[in-house]
Amino acid sequence: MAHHISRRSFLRHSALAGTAILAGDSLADVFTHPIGSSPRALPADLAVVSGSNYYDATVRAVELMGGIQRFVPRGAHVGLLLNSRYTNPGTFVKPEIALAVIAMCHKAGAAQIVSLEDTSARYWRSETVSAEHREYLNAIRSPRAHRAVLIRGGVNLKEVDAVPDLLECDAYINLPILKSHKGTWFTGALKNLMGAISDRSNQTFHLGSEPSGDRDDYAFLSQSIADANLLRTPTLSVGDATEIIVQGGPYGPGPVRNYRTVVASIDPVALDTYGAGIFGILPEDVLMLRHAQEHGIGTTNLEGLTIIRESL
Amino acid sequence: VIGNARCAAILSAIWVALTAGTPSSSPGQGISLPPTVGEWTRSDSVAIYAGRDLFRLIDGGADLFFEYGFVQAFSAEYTRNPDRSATTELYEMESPAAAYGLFTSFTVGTGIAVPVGQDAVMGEGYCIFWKGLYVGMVTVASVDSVSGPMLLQLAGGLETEIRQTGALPGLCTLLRKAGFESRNMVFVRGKLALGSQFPRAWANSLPPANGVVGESGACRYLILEYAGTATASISLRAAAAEWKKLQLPVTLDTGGTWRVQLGEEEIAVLEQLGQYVLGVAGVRETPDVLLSHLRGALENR
Repeated sequence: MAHHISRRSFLRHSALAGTAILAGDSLADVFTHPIGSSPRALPADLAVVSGSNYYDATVRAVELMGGIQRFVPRGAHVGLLLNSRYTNPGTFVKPEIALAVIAMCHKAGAAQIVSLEDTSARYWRSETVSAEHREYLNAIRSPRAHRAVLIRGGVNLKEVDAVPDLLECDAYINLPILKSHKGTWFTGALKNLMGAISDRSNQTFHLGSEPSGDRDDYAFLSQSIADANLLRTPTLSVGDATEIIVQGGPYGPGPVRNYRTVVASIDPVALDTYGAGIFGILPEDVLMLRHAQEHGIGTTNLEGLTIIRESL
Repeated sequence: VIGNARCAAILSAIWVALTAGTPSSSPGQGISLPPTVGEWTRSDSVAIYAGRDLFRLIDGGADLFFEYGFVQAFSAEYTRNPDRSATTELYEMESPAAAYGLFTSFTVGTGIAVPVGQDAVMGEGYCIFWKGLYVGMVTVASVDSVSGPMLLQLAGGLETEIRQTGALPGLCTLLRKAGFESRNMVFVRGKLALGSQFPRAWANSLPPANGVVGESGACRYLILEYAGTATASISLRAAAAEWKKLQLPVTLDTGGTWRVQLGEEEIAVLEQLGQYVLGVAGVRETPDVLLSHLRGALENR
C-alpha cells in the first residue's frame, strides 16, 4: 500500500521517530498510520520501502523511482559509491542492498561498473553470494587514482583530489547508509561523497578554516561537504535505513535500530532531509543540508515532493 | 666551547623540538592489549594509532576524539573457540575527564550498566568502559545468548591492564549529588559533542566550553562552564546575536532569562549563573522548573 506524506506530517512523524529512537520504536511503526493518500504518481521523488528482505526492498524502491533504466541506459558506465568502510554493526550498507543495485545495473545493460571507493573483500564475506552475483562482483572495476579537480562555486573548497571516474561515468549511483555521525549529527547521501575523495583532501574538511586547524569547525566541515557535492549530483541515491547505528556513529560501536527501510531519490538533499527526520533532526538545524540547498543541489522542502512509501 | 647554561638551553631547545607534536608521555605508557585474556587469544599484532593517525582507524569519526583530547589508540582482534572473534580498541585520552566525556558521548541513554572499570555499558554485541585515561570498546562479530558473558570476560580482562583510575569531572559529580541521573548525561568539551547531543541551532550558537548535556524527565538541559562570569556573559550575548541572525523567535525577560520559542508548545530557556550558562528545552512550564533545579544544584555546590 502506498501513502503520500506531506512535509508537515513528515516532520511531525519524524520528531516522534527521533524522540523514540533510543527507546527502540521502529520507523516502520512510526509510518504505519495512513498519512493521507492520493493517486500514485510515478516516478516518485522519494521512494521509501520497508520490508525484511532488503534486496527486494531495494529493487522496489528503484522501481518506484521509475526503474533502473531511467538512470542506467544500455551500455552505460556506472560509478558506484558504496559506504562499506567500517565493520561495526549498523555502520555500513547492507551487502544485499548493494547487490540488488549492482544486479539491476547489469540487467539494464550497463557496460561497466566502477567502484568509486575501494571495497574490501571482507565486506562481501558476510553475504551469501550466488554464482550470478559473484560474476557481477568480479566484473566491478576498482577506481583510478585520485586527481585534482576544480570545484566551481565552492565557498570553502576550490579544488579536491577525487576519483576521476566520479566525473566521467555516465551514471553515478550513491549508496549511503543513513546513520548517526558525531561530526555532522547524521550522515547520508551528501557526506558519502567523501568516499570518492582522497583522505588527504577529506582531512582538510575536518581541519577547519583556521591556520591552527580548529578540529571543532562543524560549520567548515558542513560547508565543505556541500561544496564537494558541486562536483556531481548523484544520478540516483539509494539509502540504507535498515539496520543503522543511532548513536556512536559513524564508526561505532553503538546501539543499532532496525527500521527495515530503503530510501531512494535523485535528490541527495531530500534523501538526507528524510534521513535527518529519522533522528528527529530538523533540516534547518543541519548546516550541511542548508548549504547544499543554497548551492541548488536539492531541496529540504519535502512538501512539494512526491513521496511514496510501501511496505513489502 | 660553550658554557653549561648555554649547553642546557640548547639541549632544552632540542628536547622541545623533538617532542613537539608527538603523543604526550602519559602515565598510561606501557599499556597495551595482552596476548591472552581468559579464553580469548589475540589473533594479530596490536596496531597503534597516535595523534592524527586515528583517521586511518576511524576516518571522520576521529574528530570527536580530537575534540575531547585524544592521545593514542590500541587496536587488535581476538578470537576464541569455537569460531568467535572480537574487535578491541583502547583509546588513551589526555585526562580522565576527557576519557569520561568520550565514554558518555558513546553510551548516554543506551545499553545496560555492567561492572567493568569505573563505568561501563553493554549493548547488543558491544561493551564500552571507562577507567582513568582510557576508554575501551569491545565488539563481537556475532551476537547470541553467550556473547554477553564472553564480551564481559574480554572487557574485564582488558580493564585490569589499566592500573590507574581517575576522577569524574566536577560538574558531573555536582549533578549526580543533586539527583541527576548519570546515565542520561554527557560531559562535553566542544561543539561536536554538544551538537551531536543537542542538534538544535539555538544550543549550538553558544561558544564551546566544558559542560554537561543531559536529559531529565521530558526536558533536555545543558550547562556550559566558562572561564569566568564575564566570559559566560559574553558567550550568552554572542549566542543571542546569532539567534537574531538566524531569525529565531527569542525574547529576554526582566529577570535575565532568554526564551526561544521552538514550536507551539516547546520552548528553550537560558540564563547565566556566574561562570555558567544554563539552558533547558521542553514543553510549557517544565523547562522553568528544571532550570530552577539546575540553578539550585550549582548554587549549593
